[in-house]
Amino acid sequence: MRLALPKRRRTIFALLAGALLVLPACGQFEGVHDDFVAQGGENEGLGGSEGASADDGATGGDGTESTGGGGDDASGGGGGGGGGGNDNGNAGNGDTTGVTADTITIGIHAPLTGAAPLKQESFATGKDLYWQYGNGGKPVEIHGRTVETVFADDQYRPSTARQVCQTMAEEQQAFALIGAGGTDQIQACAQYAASEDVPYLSTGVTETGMGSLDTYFAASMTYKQQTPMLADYIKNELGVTDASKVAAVVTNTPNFDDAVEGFTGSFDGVDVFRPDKNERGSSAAGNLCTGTVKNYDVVFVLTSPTFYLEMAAASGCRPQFVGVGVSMGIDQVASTGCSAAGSTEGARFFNPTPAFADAGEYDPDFLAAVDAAGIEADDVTWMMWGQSKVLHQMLEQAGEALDRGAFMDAVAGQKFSTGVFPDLNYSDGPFGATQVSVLRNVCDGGGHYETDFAFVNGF
Amino acid sequence: MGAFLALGLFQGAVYGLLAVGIVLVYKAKRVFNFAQGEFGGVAAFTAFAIVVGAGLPYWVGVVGGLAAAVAMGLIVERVIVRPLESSSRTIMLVALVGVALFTIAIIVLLGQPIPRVMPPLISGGGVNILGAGILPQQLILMAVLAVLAAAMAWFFKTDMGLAVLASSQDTRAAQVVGISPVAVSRLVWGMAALLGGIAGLLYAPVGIFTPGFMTLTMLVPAFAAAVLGGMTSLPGAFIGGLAIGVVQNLGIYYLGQQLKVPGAAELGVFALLMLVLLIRPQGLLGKEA
Repeated sequence: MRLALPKRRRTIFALLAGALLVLPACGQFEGVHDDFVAQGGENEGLGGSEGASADDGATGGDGTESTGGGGDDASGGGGGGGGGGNDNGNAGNGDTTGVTADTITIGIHAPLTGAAPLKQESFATGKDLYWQYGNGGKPVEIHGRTVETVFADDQYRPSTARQVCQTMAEEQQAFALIGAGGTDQIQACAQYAASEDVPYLSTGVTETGMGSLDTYFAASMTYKQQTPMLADYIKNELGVTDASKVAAVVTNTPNFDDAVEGFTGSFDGVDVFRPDKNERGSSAAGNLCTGTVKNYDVVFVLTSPTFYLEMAAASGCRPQFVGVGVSMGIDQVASTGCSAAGSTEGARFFNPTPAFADAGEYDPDFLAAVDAAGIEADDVTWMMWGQSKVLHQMLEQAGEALDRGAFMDAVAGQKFSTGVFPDLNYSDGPFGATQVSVLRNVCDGGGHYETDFAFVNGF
Repeated sequence: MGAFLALGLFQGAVYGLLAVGIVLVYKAKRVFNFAQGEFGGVAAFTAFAIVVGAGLPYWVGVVGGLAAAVAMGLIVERVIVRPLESSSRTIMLVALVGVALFTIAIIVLLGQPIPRVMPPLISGGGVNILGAGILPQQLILMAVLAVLAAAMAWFFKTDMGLAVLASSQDTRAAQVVGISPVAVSRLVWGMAALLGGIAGLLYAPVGIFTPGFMTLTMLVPAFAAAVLGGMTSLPGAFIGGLAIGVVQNLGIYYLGQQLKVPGAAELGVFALLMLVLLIRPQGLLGKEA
């Protein structure tokens, strides 16, 4: 009997095996996800904005703080227009990429695949909800323009984040970029954006390498700003003042060093554990419990959601978890933690917004927009809504003759208040938030977060 | 330190269970089975869909999960392995990596890439072992691993096990004495898939599981365990798994937490592998099949 196959068939099978490798790789490796960006294909303004850009830039010279020049950076050749101030007195630079007479294009990046993915449906509906339905169920208009979004999956990788941000800013003509989650990715994209003078907005994460970026604005408190407040919260609200009863479990990345410094600076003597990124959360549980006896009453967590969930599930002693993470999809994390024998019950996390469960109380327009859109909303949608509101106010402030220079000039030193995100004041730099909301993990009703404190600036 | 030792032992039990499946395939077919982890992934997700999604009894989920894993094993054997049997090992290896990635992609497509929790076979609080709170599920896992490793060692002393060994050494000669290579191939892949499925079903309820959880977090340590054990020894794979789990966790404790060395878990495993292979290149219990 002959077992071996003819050479030709072997070749075919080898090719098939190769195809098996390549097919699943779609969606896993760099560049492939540019397809996600193409979801913004309905953006009629793409490629058509340059002419208007040049005009707008040229007419923007009536401001008082003209920096002159500019125009060279206007990708797509709008250029040449004259910089100078705009109608609001903001210093323009003539770079009107992504701005047409009718639309402004915004680029958003977030991880939909990789180590800490977010729900695709939530992003698909959340990224446009405010812009399409935020004006009493109608599209939001900013000085006669509507906002269109393009989106890219950064795969939870900094290198990919930088690449997709470049694609959105340069090929898809995004006027400004928004980072929706992931510290390292936000840092990578923010640094790219600063190098190309593209405005960049994200929730507050690390301050490492971000403070000197001219185009970056944090829309909520950074980890370094939040951790001293967290220390006060533990002492004054949870009533734990003995440092030996408090531990910090923070992923070992330089981008979290400032968070650890902020925490230990305010809570001297706490035990700090810095697990590597690829360690398992279950191993960390060995530090927190002796059998079912707590080694620490309170554990500050700043890790990936999966690590936190594994650690919580494996910690039979059930310590009180607290944190400052701004992980979008927090209700998903709460739900999963609750289904693991209620392991995250009662966990408290600082968050830019009040809980999604209480969204109607803080911004009834959100629920009205959700109804108008006919979608199923969640905390990701709610967070995107808040971030969009912040950007809306910034764009309004920048004035009708919008360009990137005018935008940054309009935001720097200004105050913004949305009632969804913290109040912002950029007079002292890009880290302008001073408030947090405190959310509590409740397991009744499937696992979600509820608001304990909204928009507080101290404990 | 005791807690890390205990956690390492129980984590190592999963590595051991996967390693036993890897060794089974290698021993019989001389193939590095990179799809071994996904047999467990498919079993876990199928059982989750049955138990949590459809609300059916736990035993239905277990049977369904194992059936799905075995079915996957037989499909892989028929569609990928058998046609490529006479190809180089490199081609086979790449094909099996492709199977693993393809399976993960399918699971991501069918369900969201979100963390899930599988209810444990036996619920209840943790038992204090060396300071670690060990769940009943983990105790079951350890017991099953020991039983399976012993059963597999016994299997290779039976006629059927000897047929598998004979077929791996010389297919044609085995055929001459009436051993069907096709039947042997099916048997080996079915058993390997069953072992992977059991590993997935027992491990998923211990913590959180996501698409690819067995391949991305368990497969490399399991391969290290198989190599440590000698690649052809089933008890060696069992011991290797436990050793890898213990060294990983002690590495975290001593190197990572005491000496602040980054990558402590991997460093510990690497050092152990190098040490064993330098002193005993054939592995702890390895010998030619």
